[in-house]
Amino acid sequence: MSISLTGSVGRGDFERSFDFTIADGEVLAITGPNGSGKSTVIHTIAGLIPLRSGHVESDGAMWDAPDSKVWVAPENRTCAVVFQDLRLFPHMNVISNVAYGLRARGVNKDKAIERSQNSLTHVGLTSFEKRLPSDLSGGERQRVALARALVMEPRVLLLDEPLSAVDSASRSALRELLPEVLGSFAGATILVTHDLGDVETMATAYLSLN
Amino acid sequence: MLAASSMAPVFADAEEQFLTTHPCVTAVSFSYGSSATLGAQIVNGSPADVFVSASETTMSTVSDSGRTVNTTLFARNSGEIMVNATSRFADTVASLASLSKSSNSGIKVGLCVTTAPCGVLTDSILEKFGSERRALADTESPSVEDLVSKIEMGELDAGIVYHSDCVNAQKNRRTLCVSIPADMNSTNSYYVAALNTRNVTQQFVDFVSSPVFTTSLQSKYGFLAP
Amino acid sequence: MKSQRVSPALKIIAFIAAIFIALPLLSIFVRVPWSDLGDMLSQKSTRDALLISLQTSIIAAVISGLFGVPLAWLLSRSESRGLSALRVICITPMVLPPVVGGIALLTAFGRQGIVGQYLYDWFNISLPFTRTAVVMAQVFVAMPFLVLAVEAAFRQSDRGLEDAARTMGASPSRVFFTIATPAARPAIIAGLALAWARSLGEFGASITFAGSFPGRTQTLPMAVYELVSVDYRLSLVLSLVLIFISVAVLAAMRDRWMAGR
Repeated sequence: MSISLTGSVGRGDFERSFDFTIADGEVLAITGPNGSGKSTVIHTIAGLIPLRSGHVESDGAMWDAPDSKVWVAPENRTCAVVFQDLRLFPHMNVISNVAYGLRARGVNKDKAIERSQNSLTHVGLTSFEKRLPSDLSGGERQRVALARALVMEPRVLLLDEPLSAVDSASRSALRELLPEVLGSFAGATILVTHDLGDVETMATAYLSLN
Repeated sequence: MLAASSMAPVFADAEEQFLTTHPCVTAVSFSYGSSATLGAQIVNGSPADVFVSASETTMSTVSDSGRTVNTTLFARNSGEIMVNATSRFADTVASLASLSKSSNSGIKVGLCVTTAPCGVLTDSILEKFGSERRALADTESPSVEDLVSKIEMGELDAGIVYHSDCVNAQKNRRTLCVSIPADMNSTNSYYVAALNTRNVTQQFVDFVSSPVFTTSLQSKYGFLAP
Repeated sequence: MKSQRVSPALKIIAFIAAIFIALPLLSIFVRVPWSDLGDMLSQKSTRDALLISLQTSIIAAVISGLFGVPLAWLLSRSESRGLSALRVICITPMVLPPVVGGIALLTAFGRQGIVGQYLYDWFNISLPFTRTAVVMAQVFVAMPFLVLAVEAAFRQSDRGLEDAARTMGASPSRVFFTIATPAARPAIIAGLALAWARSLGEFGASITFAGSFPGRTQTLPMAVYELVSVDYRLSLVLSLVLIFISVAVLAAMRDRWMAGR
C-alpha cells in the first residue's frame, strides 16, 4: 500500500508544495522549522485540508484530485491521526475514546471494547479504562491517543509531533515505546517531528521542509 | 370616552354629528373594550370623561367607587347568532342547537367571556336554552369586537353576539344572522356616565341620552329601547 | 474588596435600577391574599390553567430543543450569506411583538391561511383554537431563544475535536450527536430552560392564534389577564405562581444562561 502526495495547498503566503511517495512498513519523518508546513501534510492526507492542485493517492485510488473533482471525505479514508494536541474527547472515558473509531465504523460494542483493551495494553496502559482524560498525565494521554489511532488498524498512521505534548519526565519512556510500536505496525507511517534524534531512531526516510 | 365595544360602530358615525352640533368641542377620542376591563381602568384612575357601559353591574361598581357624577340608562341589546357566510356550516346553523358539536361536528364556535357583558348575556341565554358553554364553545373572546372579527375572518364559524353587531356586520355580506327565539333570549342594559363635572362631559352625556340619538340607535343599529 | 472599586454615583444609579425592577415584583408578594391562597390555588379554573400552561410549555420546550439544536448547528457551521439571512429570520420572533406573531401564525395556519386553507379543505384540520395552536404559538416565540444560546456555543466549540472524530471515521451526523452536542450541553440546557420560561409566559401570540377557553386553551397568563378586571385578588395569586416559577428557573440557571458557559 502506498500513499503519494503531490501538489500544493493554500494560496499566497501560505502556499506549500509537496511530492513524495511512501510504502508499507516505511516511516517517513518530516522535519523543518515551525511554520514550514509540516502539520499541513498530515492534515492534507487525512482530508482536513483540501489540495489546491495535484493529488493524494492511496494504492491507486484517488483521495483528493481537485483537477478531476475527486474528493474522499476524511471519514472514508483509511488513515489515523495522532494530533499534536492529542484531541482526546474530554467527555468520554479512556476506553470510549479508544473504541470511538471502531464504533464509528460499525464494529459491535463488545468486540470494540476487547480490541481497545488490547490496544491499551500494547501501549503500556492497563486498568485505565474508566478514567477521564483530565485525570491522566501528559504521558498517559499520549499513549491513549496512540492506542486510539492504532486500534483502527489504519493503512497510514500520521503522527504530528508525538512527543511535544509530553513533559520531559515521561518523554524518555515514550521514546522507547514509539519505535517498538512503529516496528510492529504494518502500514505506512508519517512522523512529523523537529527532533533529529527521533529521525535517527525511527525513520526509514526523511523529508526536510525549509 | 371609554365605551363598550358593541357601541363602536355607533359612535364611529355619531362622532361627526356631535362635533357639528357642538362647535366648541374640537375632538373626541374613543377607546373601546370590554366594559369590565374599562370599568377597572376607570376605578384605577383612568382620566376619561365619559363611560359607556354595556353592563349594569360594571356601572354600579364604578359608581360605588365614587368616580361617576351621574348615570343614565339609554339603550338595551339582545343576543343573536352570527354565522360566517362562507363557512361550510352556513346553511346548517338555524338555531342554538346547531351550535353544538354533537349536531355539527367540526364547527368552531366562539362566545364572549363570562366576565364581559355580552358573556353575561350569553350565559343567561344558555341557561334558558339548557346548555353549557363547554358543549358549544372553542374559544372565549374578551370582547364582542374580537368575537365579531374572528367570525368575519372565517377563523370561527359562528358565535353568539349582540343583535346590534349582527345588524351592522350584515352590511359587509360576510356574515349571516340567525335569530334566537324570544323565550330563550335575554337583554343587557347600556348606561352612560359622566366621570367629571366639565361642561363638555355633560354635553356628551346629554347627546347620548337624547331621544334623537336613542331613536337612531334602534332604527339604524339594532339596539332596543331603554 | 471588590465593591470598593465601584464609585458611589454608579452605585446609586445601579440601586435605583434594581429597585425599579424589584419593587413591582415584591409588591405582589405584599398584596397577595395569603390567607386565601390555598382555596384560590385549588379552584378548578386555577388548576386547569396551571395544568394547560405546564403541559403546553414543556412540550413547546422539547420541540424547540429537537428542532432548534439542529438549526443552531446548521447556522453555526455554514458561512453562506443565504444562511445569515436565515439566522435573522429565525431570530425575528424574539423582537417581534407577540401579537404580531399570533397574526402571522393565523395568516399562515388559520382556516383561510396560506397553508391552513389546504389543511382545512383537504384534511379537515382546523388549527386555531386548539391546544396544538397554543404549543405552536409558544414554539414560535420561544425557539429563537434556544437557537441563539446553542448557536453561540456551537460556534465556540472545539473544531479540532470534530476534525479528530472525522479522521476516525465518524460521519458528520455522528460527529453532531457524539461530539458537538455533548460539548454544547450546558448551552442546550440553558436554551431549554429559557425556551420553557418564555413559553410559560406567552400571551399575545397564543391568545390571537389559539384563543382562550378555560380547560382547553386558557393558559395561566390568559387567566391572569381575564381576572384582572373581575377578581383582582385571584389575579394576584396566579401572578404569584408565574413569578415564582420564573424566579425558580432563573435561580436554578444562575449565571449559566449566558451562552457558552
